[in-house]
Order: sequence, then structure tokens, then C-alpha cells
Amino acid sequence: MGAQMRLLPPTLPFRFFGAAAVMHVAVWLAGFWAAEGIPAFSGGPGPVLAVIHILTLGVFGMTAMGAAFQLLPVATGVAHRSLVPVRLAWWLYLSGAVVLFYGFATSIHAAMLIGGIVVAAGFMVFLAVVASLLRRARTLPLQVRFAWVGLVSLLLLVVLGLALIEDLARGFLPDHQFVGLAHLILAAFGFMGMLTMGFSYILVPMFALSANPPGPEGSVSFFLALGAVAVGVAGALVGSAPLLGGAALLGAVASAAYIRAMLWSLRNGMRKNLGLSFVLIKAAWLMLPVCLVMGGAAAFGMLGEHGPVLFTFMLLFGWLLTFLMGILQRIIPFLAAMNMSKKGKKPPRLSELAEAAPLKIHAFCHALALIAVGSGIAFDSSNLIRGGAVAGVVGALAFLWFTVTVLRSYRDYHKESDGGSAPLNSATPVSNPNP
Amino acid sequence: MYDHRLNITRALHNDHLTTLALLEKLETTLRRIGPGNPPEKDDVMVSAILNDIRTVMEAEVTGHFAFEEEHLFPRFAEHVDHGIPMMLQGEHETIRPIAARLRELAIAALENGFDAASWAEFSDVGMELVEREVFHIQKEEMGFLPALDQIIDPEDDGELTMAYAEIGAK
Repeated sequence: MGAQMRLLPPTLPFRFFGAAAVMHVAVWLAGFWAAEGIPAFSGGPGPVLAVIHILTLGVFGMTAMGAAFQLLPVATGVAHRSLVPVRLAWWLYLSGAVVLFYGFATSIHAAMLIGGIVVAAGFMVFLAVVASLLRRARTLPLQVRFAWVGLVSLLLLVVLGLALIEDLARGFLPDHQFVGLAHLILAAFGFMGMLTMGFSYILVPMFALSANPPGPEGSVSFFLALGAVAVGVAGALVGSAPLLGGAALLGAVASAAYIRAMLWSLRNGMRKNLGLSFVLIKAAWLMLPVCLVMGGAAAFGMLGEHGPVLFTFMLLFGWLLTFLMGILQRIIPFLAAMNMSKKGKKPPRLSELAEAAPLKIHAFCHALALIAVGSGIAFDSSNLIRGGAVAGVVGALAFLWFTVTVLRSYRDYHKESDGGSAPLNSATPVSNPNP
Repeated sequence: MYDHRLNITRALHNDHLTTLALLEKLETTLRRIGPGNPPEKDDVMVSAILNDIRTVMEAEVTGHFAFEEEHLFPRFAEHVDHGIPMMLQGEHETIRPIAARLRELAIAALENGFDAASWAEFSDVGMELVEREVFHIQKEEMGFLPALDQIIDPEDDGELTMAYAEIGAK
């Protein structure tokens, strides 16, 4: 078995996580710039659509790709056949995303189309790599099922995304907004939602050092979430409020089963002191059913004029961003420390890799930003949104500072032990174990 | 975490749970008391932890670590990957002197209690051990034991389980 195909050089996952940390700053900066148009946003190109995609592609997609490339071989024991596609996915995805953001922000159709196609190509390479790992996996059946649904959702959301871009020029879709909503449901719940739930069933028991939840919650959450995504997409495509409401209900029950399983792991885990990261993760778990209820209510027009935007904000920023920031602040130092075991040099402790202060600043500013932007949307106040975005920028910069500090600790460790530069691209047996 | 298929991986996992239970208690106690206030010699909770450190750390370092290094790391390197056992062995080498020092301090404290200096050192070494050992166990639970479940056949499982029992780890 090719060890190096399982043991990714740290530069591969770090580049995705580093990009996510940079894009996180860009999201809030762009949010400040686009504040005026956010409360009344109803789709279509422009600054707000750029903000949404900097978040979804820049932060969520980068994190999902880095995590899947690194964690799936570790968790399933299946090695990558080659790392060339991983590098190819990175370059396609990054370059395409930047062009796409520019296209959305400026409403230049050619940039949207070219960026969209290149991003789609990056996603397809990612899909092929992950599908290859999943096909060969013989363990973790529940987590693998979640990942398969995530991949199918990814394929569908890419098709709809490209169709939406082309529709801006040709106008061939029966209803642009309905398809846009289906694209959002596939992206947030189908792709990211299923991946985060699947990875949760690996990472949360690992960090809490607990057994897998013994009850049926895992399977129940999978089938209900699958049903919710399917019904939600169908409801969005035909513009049916009852179907969307039913999907939200199914999703809420699925999330209850999932959260129950996660809480079981925390209660029965040997590690009780899980730190600030799990404060964010628990807050995200709280926001998941809340945003599903809001989604159901928004489908029936019960949240007022700005209900759909508020729901989208809670979904993307409240649930997914909060959750991923909690996970990222755990796995970035974890991954760095796993690659810092050189003979003759004592590896640093996890707590020595970075200071705690930036993460505290980030958590505080993130909460402040959610409250301020959420209120700004509800009360149609662009000033509140701008204030929230400023808090978001400060928090995101603190998070970036944390990420850079960890990477700098990694580099310094290898510099000191090698007497030269850090082997970021090498895959020597000791420095790149990545179990 | 992974549900282990083999007797030997279940035995190692159970040892991890025993060690983690001790580390969790140790961390909670050290945080509660703080490094600047040595506990009284007759503090029942601290005495219980010191006794556990004396027995569990001995078993962990001489039994569990040695068994992995002698019987499991070579198999893993042959069938799966040589980098992971090298990393885990490197961590054993880092943890061993820390565990040994903590054990020495615990034994001395059981006899004479703590003064300000010995308690400060005990707190420092204890927190370092908690951090390093928990991280080490997380890695073994995530990547090492599940892979062993895939590569060890039932006959070898029986032999390894007997060998582990003979070492008498915990």
C-alpha cells in the first residue's frame, strides 16, 4: 500500500484550510461592502451573490475539500491512488472561484461562466477522488453513506449552478428563483450538511474520546436528512410551500436525531474539557433546528418580507460557518502537531502551537456579528449589518492570526530540527505521518 | 470512535479508557487546586489520584507501550504504513520520561506530601502528560487501532491477546 498516498504532505490540507481562513476575512469585508443590498436580496448577480459564494465556495468548499482529502484516508484506512488529482482540484477550484466571485460581484457574464466552469471542473476532480476512496472503504458504513449523498448533491448543485449562470444570459429556466432555491438546498443541506453530519460521526467521538452512539439515531438522521433534501429540492423546483415546509419538518427531526447522537458522544466521552471549539460547535447545533424552523416558516411567508434572507443568513452563517470554525480550530493544530514528531526534537504540545486569545476574540466577534447582521436583516438596517460585518472582520482576522501562528510554529519546528526550511512539500516518513 | 472487531484492539482500547479516566481526573484536580496551592497530605481525592498514577503509569509505560512497540508497530509497518508507527514510537519516547517523572513525584508525595516546589512541578508535569497522552490516544484510536482490525487475522488475534495478558498490562 502506498504510504505516501495515505500520508498527505501537510501542504495539501493546509492550503485548503489556509484559503478558507483567508476567504473568511473576505466574506465579512464583502458583507460590509454589500450591506445595502442584503435585506432585500432576492437572487441574481451582484455584490450579495458574491458574498454568498465567497462563503460557500471560499470557506465551506475549501474546508470540505481539505477535510475530505485528509480525513477520509485516515478514517477509512483507504489510501489515495495518486496526489496529482488533489493538487489539480486545488488549482482548478481556487482559480475558478476567484474568477466566479469577480463575475458575480461585477455581473460580467463571461467571468461567471468561465469561473463557474472551472470551479465545476475542480469539484468534479474532487468528486472523482472522494468517490474512489468511498468505493474502496470497508469501514464506517454510516459515514460513507453520508458522504455518498454529499457527492450526489454536489453533482446536482453544480449542474443547477451552471444552468443558473447560463440562464442569466439566455433565460431558459422556467423560474430562476425556484432553481436558485433548489441550488441553495443542495449546497447547504445536501452537500455541506451531509458531509458535516457524516464527519461529525467521526470527529466528535474522536475528540470527545467516546464510543460511537449506540442507538438508531445515526441511521435515522441519515434517512430523514436524505428525505428532507430530496423533498426540499422537489419543493423548491415546483415552488411548493407545503413541500418545503414538509422538508423543513423532516430536516428538523433529522437534526434532532443527529444532535441527540452527538450529545450522547459528549456525555459518554472520556474528555469533558473540550474547550472553546466545542462552544462554537454546540452553538451551531442549536442553530441548525432553529434555521430549519425558520426555513419552514419562511416558505409559508410567516417571517415577513425579509424572512428568506434571514433564513439564508442563519443557515449559512449561523449554522454552517459557526460549526466549521469550531471544527477548523480543532483540526488545524491537530494536523500540524501530527506532523511535528522528529527524532531528536521534542514536539510541542498542542497548547504551545498557538495562543488562545485569537480564538476568544474570534468567538466573541462571531457571536456579535451574527446578532448584529441578523438584526440588521430583520429590521432592514444596513448600518447594523455594516457594524456586524466589522465585528466579523475583526473575528475573522483573529482566526487568520491563529491559523498563521499554528503554521509558523510548524515551520519553526522543522527549521530548528532540520537546520533548514520546513518540509512542507515533502512526505518523509517521520514528518508526514498523518495516521 | 471505531467499534473494535478484535480482542487485542478491544483490550488496547480498554486500556486507553482506563488511562483517559485517570488523566481526566488528574486534569480536573490540577485545574481545581491550581499550581500555587499545594494540597494537604491527607487530601483523600489527591491521594487516590497519586495511587492511580503509581499503578496506571507503570502499566502504561512498561506494558502497553512496550507491547505496541514489540508486537504491533512492526506488523503495521509491514502491512500498512511505516510512518505511523515511527510517529507513535516517537511519542512514546516523549511521553515515557514525563510519565516516569510524574510517577516519581506521586510516590514521593504519597510518603511526604507536597511542598510548594514539588506541587508546582507535579502540576506542570501532570498537565503536560495530560495533553500529550490524550493527543497520542486520539491518534491511536482514530488511525492505528482501526487499521490493526483490518490486518490482523483471528489466529494472530488470539496469540497477541495472550501475549498482552502475559505482559499484564493493567
